[in-house]
Amino acid sequence: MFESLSTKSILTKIRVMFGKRLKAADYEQLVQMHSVAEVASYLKNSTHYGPALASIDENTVHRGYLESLLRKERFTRYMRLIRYDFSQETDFYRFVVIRGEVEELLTAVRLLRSGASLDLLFTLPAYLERYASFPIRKLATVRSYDDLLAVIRRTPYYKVLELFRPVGNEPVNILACETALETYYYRTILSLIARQFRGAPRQELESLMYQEIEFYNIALVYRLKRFFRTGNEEIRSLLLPFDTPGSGTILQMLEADTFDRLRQVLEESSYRKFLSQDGRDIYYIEGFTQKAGVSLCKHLMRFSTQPSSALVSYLYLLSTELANITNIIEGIRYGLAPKDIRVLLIL
Amino acid sequence: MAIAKMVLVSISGDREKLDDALLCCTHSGIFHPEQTSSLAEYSASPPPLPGTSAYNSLTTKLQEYVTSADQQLAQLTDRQKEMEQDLLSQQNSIRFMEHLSALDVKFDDLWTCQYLKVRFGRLPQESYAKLQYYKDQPFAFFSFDHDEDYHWCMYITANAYKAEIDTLFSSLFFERIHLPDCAHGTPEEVVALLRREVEEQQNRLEQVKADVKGWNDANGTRLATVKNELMFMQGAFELRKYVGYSGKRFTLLGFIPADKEQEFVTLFKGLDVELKVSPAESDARLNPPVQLKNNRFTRSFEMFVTMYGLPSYKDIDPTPYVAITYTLLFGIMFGDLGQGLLLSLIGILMWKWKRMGLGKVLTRIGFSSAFFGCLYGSVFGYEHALDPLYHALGFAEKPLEVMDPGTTSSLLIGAVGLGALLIICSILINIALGIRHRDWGRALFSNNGLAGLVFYCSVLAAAVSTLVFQVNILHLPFVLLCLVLPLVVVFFQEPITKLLRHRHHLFEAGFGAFFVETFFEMFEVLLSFVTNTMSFLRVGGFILSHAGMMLVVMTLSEMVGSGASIVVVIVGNLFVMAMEGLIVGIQVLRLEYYEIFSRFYDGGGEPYTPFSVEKQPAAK
Repeated sequence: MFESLSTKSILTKIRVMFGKRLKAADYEQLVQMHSVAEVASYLKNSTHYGPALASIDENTVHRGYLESLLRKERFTRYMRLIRYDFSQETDFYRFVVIRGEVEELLTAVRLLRSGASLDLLFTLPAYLERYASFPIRKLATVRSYDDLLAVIRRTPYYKVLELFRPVGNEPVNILACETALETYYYRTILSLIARQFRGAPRQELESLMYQEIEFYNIALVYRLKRFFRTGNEEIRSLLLPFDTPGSGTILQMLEADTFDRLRQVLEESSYRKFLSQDGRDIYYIEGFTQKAGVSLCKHLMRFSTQPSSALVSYLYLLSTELANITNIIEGIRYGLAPKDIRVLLIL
Repeated sequence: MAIAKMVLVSISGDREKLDDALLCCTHSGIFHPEQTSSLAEYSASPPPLPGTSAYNSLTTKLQEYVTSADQQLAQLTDRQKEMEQDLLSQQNSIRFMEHLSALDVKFDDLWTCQYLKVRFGRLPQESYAKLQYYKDQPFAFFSFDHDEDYHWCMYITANAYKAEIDTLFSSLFFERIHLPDCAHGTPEEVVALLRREVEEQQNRLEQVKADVKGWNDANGTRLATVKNELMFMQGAFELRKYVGYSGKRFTLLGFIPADKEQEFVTLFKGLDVELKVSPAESDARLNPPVQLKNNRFTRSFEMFVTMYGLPSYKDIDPTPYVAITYTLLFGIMFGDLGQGLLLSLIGILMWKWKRMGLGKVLTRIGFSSAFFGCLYGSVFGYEHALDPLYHALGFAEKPLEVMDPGTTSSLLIGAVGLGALLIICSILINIALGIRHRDWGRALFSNNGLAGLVFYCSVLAAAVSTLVFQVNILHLPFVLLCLVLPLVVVFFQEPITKLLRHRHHLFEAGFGAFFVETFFEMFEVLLSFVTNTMSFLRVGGFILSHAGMMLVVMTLSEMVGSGASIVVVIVGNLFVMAMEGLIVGIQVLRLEYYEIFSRFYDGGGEPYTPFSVEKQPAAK
């Protein structure tokens, strides 16, 4: 009984936190602002980010630092929530840390190719270092792929990335590394879910993960076909190898030979409601998939009775909120008009 | 039981005089307008609204005045804002300089370096930890102070590497802080200098603030007057929607309190309009508004009456009746000398501090509670605290021992008796109202009229004589005359009333339908007599429950140690006061609404809301 009670209380706690999210009116205020200082001041004084930004001086704070503090806040909230009562299912709740590790490894691989590994330090999330399975900061000092493998020697990532060790002067195959790391991430998470959950929680979490995978694959196919004219075989090799409910849509997208056909496939799929109705081009495919993700997560936040899926949904929505804030800050810095910034927001 | 007397005022005149008349009405603050245009004789179309020309000269004058006032004030406030910003920036500089106190080099020595660039600022702790990876880069870094989040620091680099190193530090979220122009000596010297400047700036700022205040004092009253005048004119203009027209004349009907008639008429002296004052009910199409008029004791209970609905103008104001019965019933149910006085004190504080109307009610019912507490001998649950007083007064013990089993049944019977008395009073009020309205059906034949009263009193008399005096009075004549006859009258109330009004169609939907409908209604009538009377049992019940709850508090206080005992007594008393006070308050209100109001009170009156314009206080 106590377990069930505490489950309800966590769910309530998550929903309370969700209730404090930025609303359309907040975004409207933010897009009307003229400087990063104004945005920082608004976030500090009028939103739920107030305590996280208490130490900053709105007038001098660096845009990057502001964003890093907001990202840190997302992690802090996650830590605060899992401390409540996720003790018996601790492994699954490492998904945020695993996600962070995968992101940092991907950044390291990309920077290695451009020979600027040290730049990893600029965005390195210091809060993740304590929980990571390898010394993340050392990624900044790697000069070669072998150095990179040495850093992750004792972790499962070694086996994943070892396969893509470049031969001779061959450049690192970034796309293949990305596919392998993403595949590893989802495989690990799905096996943790299968091991630790039964019934409704398992079903909801699996469905969430498959949905994420599907979004990834849709965005990948769309981007590669639309902007890089990549061949179908190569695209197929880069897809995350999972059988998701919308696999049929992805296959149809693969077969599409024109942009109109691509759009038609999406229009005929269950995602049609997220397409803009004015027939505009979908240049920003991630915006489209994020919109669908936000809709799904909001539904779960409101109707799910499982704290696990509520937590995952909440973190997804918080990430979207951070992406929106980042877009607003970028928009303001580049002097975009409020209407152009508004287009970038996922609500 | 008073409802303020009203008189109907009719103001009419040529359309040109309309605005003057409206201004007078607005100015009076007592005029309750009626929708005159809805009356057939005044339903001609209104004249076109005046253009702006009527106000042109006034607008121009106002514009000039406001523009000049605005400029004067803007100059002063801009200066004030500018100085406040300077002050803030100087104070920030002082704070920053204090972080640099470890720097033992003069700023001038740094500024005069020909080949080096120096940057001061702060670096997040996270970035500070990353600096070790940039040891091979051409810069020197000095941290002077740090807290949980930041390092206050300086970096020096060669002119040639300036762009590269600035970019690096920017990527590490370095927040550059520009030093004030006065930064020449050591940080301590700069701080001392800045402090002096801050002091001077503060003095200057105070002067500007005084100037702003002086300006406000000089112009605030005039601006408020102008605003009031404008609001007044706006208000008078809004009153136009009530005006009716016929031909070239306007008419405005409304009500004013009868005792202010003279005052109102005086306002219209010298104005070329016709003012007619007539009794409030002289025009049957208009419903006179209701203003309750009560004395200091009963006025605060008006909130309970208005919550239910205002009485109509022809009815009586039940507030005094509510005030007396509410105070009495609450006192009986919540009798405790200490708690009652405390409740009164809380009521006084609520009124003084928060101006809460409920506070005044609490004050009154608190004293009633204290009075009955004296009868029960209860002070904060101590049931024998008043014994010495009773002995001194010559009593052997307290007048009412609530927890004595012998008293319990008397209390409950007494409560029902009180209830019966209140129901009888309510029926009597209904009869009086029926007579006043010449509504004989209501006064004589209804269940809340004479017939109902005879039946109810007869049942009570039969019950009392049989149960108390063991005398059976239920003989055939008594039963037929006092029980059956009144019920038959109540049954045929509707056709009898129609007969008296010489109306045909006594049974509009046929006798069958009338019989079935009234037959079932009679069940409700009979049941309501029983349930309404028994409902007053709760009065006795709450006397017992109050004593019982305080007994629990006292038992608990005895169970704990002597130190904690007083805490238990205090917390227990507060708990009982809060919980029971609230419940009793609601229960008494329920008795008022269901058992008493339902017998004579309809509500449905229109509140008296005189048209007025709120005045703006002078600016401070």
